[in-house]
Parts: sequence; C-alpha cells; structure tokens
Amino acid sequence: MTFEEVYRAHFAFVWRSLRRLGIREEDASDTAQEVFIVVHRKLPEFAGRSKLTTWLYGVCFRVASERRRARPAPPLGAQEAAAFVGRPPDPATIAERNQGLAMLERILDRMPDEQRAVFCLFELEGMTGEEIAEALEIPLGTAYSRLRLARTAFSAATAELVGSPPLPVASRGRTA
Amino acid sequence: MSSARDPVRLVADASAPDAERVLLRHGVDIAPPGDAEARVWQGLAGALGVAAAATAAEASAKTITAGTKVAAAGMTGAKIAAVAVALAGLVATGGYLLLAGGSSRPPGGAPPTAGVAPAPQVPPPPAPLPPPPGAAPPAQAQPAPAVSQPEKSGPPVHRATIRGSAIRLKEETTLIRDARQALRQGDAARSLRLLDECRRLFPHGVLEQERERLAIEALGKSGRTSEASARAAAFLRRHPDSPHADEIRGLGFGAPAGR
Repeated sequence: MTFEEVYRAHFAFVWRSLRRLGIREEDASDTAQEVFIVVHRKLPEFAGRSKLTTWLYGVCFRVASERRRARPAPPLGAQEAAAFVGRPPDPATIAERNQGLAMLERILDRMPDEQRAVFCLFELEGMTGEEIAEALEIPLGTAYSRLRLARTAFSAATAELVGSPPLPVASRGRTA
Repeated sequence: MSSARDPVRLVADASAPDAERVLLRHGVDIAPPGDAEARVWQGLAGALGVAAAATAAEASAKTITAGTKVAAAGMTGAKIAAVAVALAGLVATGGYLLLAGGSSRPPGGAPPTAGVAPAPQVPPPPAPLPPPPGAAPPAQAQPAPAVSQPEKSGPPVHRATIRGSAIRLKEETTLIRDARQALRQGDAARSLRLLDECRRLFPHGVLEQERERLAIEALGKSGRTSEASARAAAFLRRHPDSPHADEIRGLGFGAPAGR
C-alpha cells in the first residue's frame, strides 16, 4: 500500500482518533500532518503483522500525547464550567451536536491519556480488547483494567453533568 | 468486532444511562471538515517535498484563501498548509528558481523523491496528485489564476510573509533531505555539516525533531559517541513520547551511565 493510498483510506480515521485523543478541532490539521509525516517515514517498516489502523492509532497516540504535553488543554471557561457544575442542561440540549461533543471532550479531558485512549478505542472505534492492547503495546489485562477505570470516571462525570447518581458500572451488561 | 472477554459497549448497552449513550454517539460521529483532507495533503506536499508541481496546479483560490485565513489565526500546521500552497505558487510563477539551488528543478518536471524518508526505505512517492475527495476540482494547466486571484485581494505584507515562509520551509526540507542522503551514503561528516547549518538557520524549524534524530545518528557514525549520547539523552528528556524517541533509543546512545 503506498503512502498516498494509506492517506486517502485512513485520513478520516486519523482525524477522528486525534480528536478523541484530545486534539482540538483548530489543532487537528496540524497534528494530522505530523502523524502523516511519521507515517510517510515509517510505512516501509510496517510489516503487516497488525491491522493498519491499529498501527496508525499507535502513531496518533504518541503524536497526540506529545502535542498535548506541549500545549495542555485550556482550563474550562466560566460558561463551560457552568455546564458541569450546578446547571445541568436538559436532554434536548444534550442532543445538540456541538454542545454534546464539547461536553464529551471535557469529560474525556479529565481522564489520564492512557485511560482515554483505551476508552475511545473500545467505546467509539469499536476495537476489541486484543486490538487495543496491540495498538497501545500494553498487556490485555492492562487494557481491560484501564477500560474499567475509564468507564467509572466517564459514568461519574456524566452523572454529575445531568444531575443524577451514576449507575454502578459493575451492574451493567458484562459480555458482548 | 468483539471478543468473548469484551464487555458490551456502552452505546449498545440497554442498561447504561441514556445520557452516557447520547454523549458517546457524539464521539462516534466525529468527522473531518470537508476541506481538511485536501488542506492537510497540501501541507504534506510542502513538508515532504512531494508533488509540489501537482499541488500548484491543484491549488484553488478557495483553498489558498482558507489557508491564509487560518495562518493569520496563528495555527502552526495550517501555516504549513498555507506555506505549501504558497510554495506551489512559487513553482507556478517561476519563483521556484529562487529556492535552494542544487535541488531546484524547473516547473513541470518530475516530482522530487519523497524528501523525508531515506531513499532506500521510501515507498514510491505519491505521483502528482489528484485532489483528495471533497477537494476543489483540479485546475490543471491553469496554475496562474489559482495563485493570482488571492494575490489581487490579499494584503501585500501578508503575501510576502507567506512567500518568505515558503522559501524557509523549502530550504529546511532540502537541508534535512540532503543530510539524510549523505548519512545513508556513509558521509557522516557532510551530514553533520548540513544539519549544523540547518540548526543555525532554523533552530525551531518544522523538522526540528527529525534534524536532531539524524544528528545523533551522524555523531555516532562519526565516532563522537559521547556527544551522541548527550544529545540523545537531552532529546529523550525533552520529548519522551516523540515518534522519534524509539528510534533514538534504538541507536544505542541513551543517557550516559551515572546520569
């Protein structure tokens, strides 16, 4: 697969992966470019032992982590903070796409990068535990452990947002 | 796509609160804006030195205007995209002749070998590109209008800034590429000279990390292992999660013992 083919087939994947890893919309073009510069250089080393998207995500994760370390997300603005504390929006507002996405980003911003990556890959990208462990180069048990922690954090933050107690994660459906 | 040990995903878990599932659906639906794919590709063409001639033909007035607007907002990568577009403009208008001498080519020649990856390892460089899906239609054989239109309306000072940035980016890319080629050909001393020159001219250039990785490798191949170790350790302290970090560790010049 040539670089151009990889770019065309997976640009959208890289973009949304970066966004889910905490790269803001206004920085996503910069960061996607950084990712593909690395991909251009390392593609010959990709031996096909894993799925291409799994390998690409590993690149995205490292580039995004570096970027976020260099440019931490700004603190919550007063208006955004109000959305989290003491002023729960109604469900219709939650359904508003832009506000919903902003809320999701803020909740994810509270997670450590490692938990966030596992959570997004599993819940949003639909990868399996094995694929996540491979993408992030961690043991499978670690992937599941991070997912549990991230789910608990997500549930608590969402409950705070909507003003209702979180449903214990352990009491939900357990297997696929 | 699930395995036996995987729990049910929240979006499909009827026992999960509605609010959680609603929020997650917003994350599932993330997609790039319509022009992002073309804009980033333009930036890559500049940063990697590929298909510059083709991007000149493809650069539409709309893309250039968008690029310069974002550059004015102070966004690094979008700046690169705008710079790449300006680079393409240079190619189209003959300004390319002003660029770094040894590697310059006349407009319309074959695209250069991919600039960042070493020649023996590089996948075939993208051929002159059709625009990615969603991009403005190509204006083949009509590069001049694509560039001249925004020049009529844009502020002269801003145009000059972009053009100057384009030249700097091209020079930095050329120095890095030549340094890499020298290193692959076994001439570590020449590689180091080029990298030192690059560091002097562009201390915080777009390819700063790539430059440092090459310098560490060149120092090691020159027998200057203590310098290589010191710079490797400094790099890894500054950029522990850099995409280049694993490669630098793999060069075997980690932190000197006892530090």
